[in-house]
Amino acid sequence: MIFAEWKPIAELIEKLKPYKKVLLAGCATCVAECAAGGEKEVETLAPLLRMALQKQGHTVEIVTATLDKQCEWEFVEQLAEQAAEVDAIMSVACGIGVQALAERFDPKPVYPGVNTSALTIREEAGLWAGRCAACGDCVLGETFGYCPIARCAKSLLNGPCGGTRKSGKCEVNEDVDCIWNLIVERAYERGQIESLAEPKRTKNWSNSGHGGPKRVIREDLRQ
Amino acid sequence: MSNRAEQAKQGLEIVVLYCQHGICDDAKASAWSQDAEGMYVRAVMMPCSSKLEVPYILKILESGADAVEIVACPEKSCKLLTGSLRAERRVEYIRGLLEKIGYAPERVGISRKLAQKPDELIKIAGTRADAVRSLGTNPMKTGEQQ
Repeated sequence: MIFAEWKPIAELIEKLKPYKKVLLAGCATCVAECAAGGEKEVETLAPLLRMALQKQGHTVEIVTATLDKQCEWEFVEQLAEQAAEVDAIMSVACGIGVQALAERFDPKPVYPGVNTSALTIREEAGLWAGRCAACGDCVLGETFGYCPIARCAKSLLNGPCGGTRKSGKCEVNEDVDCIWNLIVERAYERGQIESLAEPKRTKNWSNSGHGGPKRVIREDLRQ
Repeated sequence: MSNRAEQAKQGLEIVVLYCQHGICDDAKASAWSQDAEGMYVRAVMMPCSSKLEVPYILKILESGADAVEIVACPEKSCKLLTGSLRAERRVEYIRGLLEKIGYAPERVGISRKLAQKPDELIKIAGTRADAVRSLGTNPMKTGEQQ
């Protein structure tokens, strides 16, 4: 899932202070899974913001709505009526949702309520960990299902850096597995350790952020 | 004068949310309220303290209550095993959120008791009231700035 976390509340307050009425918009997909921007989080953040604003002497009416998806125009359209009645919008969806609202409801000011930071999996209740860096040239087939781009602190493609702890943890964070240690262990388990010694093809970084803004066209799906 | 204004004049408004398993059988009631010395107590029975959700508590404070006390079962007595533990963690989370917006975390608390009678819940509310009395009334109640 796309992972996001609330921005500092003081930062949100500064953005909302000038307005009389604001829409706080959530998204019931990824940011709900990571407990940052779903309906529950919207209904948690809204009273907090109202209380904080009032405490500072600002009277801002905050109304709320949570869409099934903020990254699809059909769902975004559901906010049209509410958006027309407010002075500004604060979105707690990922950066895609924020931009969708900013584009659809221009020139209404749209502010992000969260920082979008990673593509994660929920390892257990209350613990999320990065699993994908959207690098655009997946190597999971050669690394036994472990991503060295997202899960190695140095994004190394050619084995451990030498800083692996005796416990098998990363030198950067003792709570995090050295992913190359896991790759090597799994390679041994499968009797394929030699495959890691083979020269790696040059990774094509141009298919992600390094190649400029992403734009994909599928003619069979276009209208 | 509105009811709330009258209550504010009389004393603090304390909301008590209590687990149905922690109250003695003959005192079970879904919700009740009572004036007590220096405070007005609103009590709501929950099926389990684990039903406590973060937005509920914040909305109670937003609506002007001066403090919220959750009365959960002792950890080993929880009929849903981890219900009261979850409630305690959520209370800690809420207290952290309150600190971030400059509210005293003491406005939310949790106690662990079993076989309570209503009078005992009033006493627990009184302890919470004592903890927040020096803070004054909830600014949301009066619209004042702190």
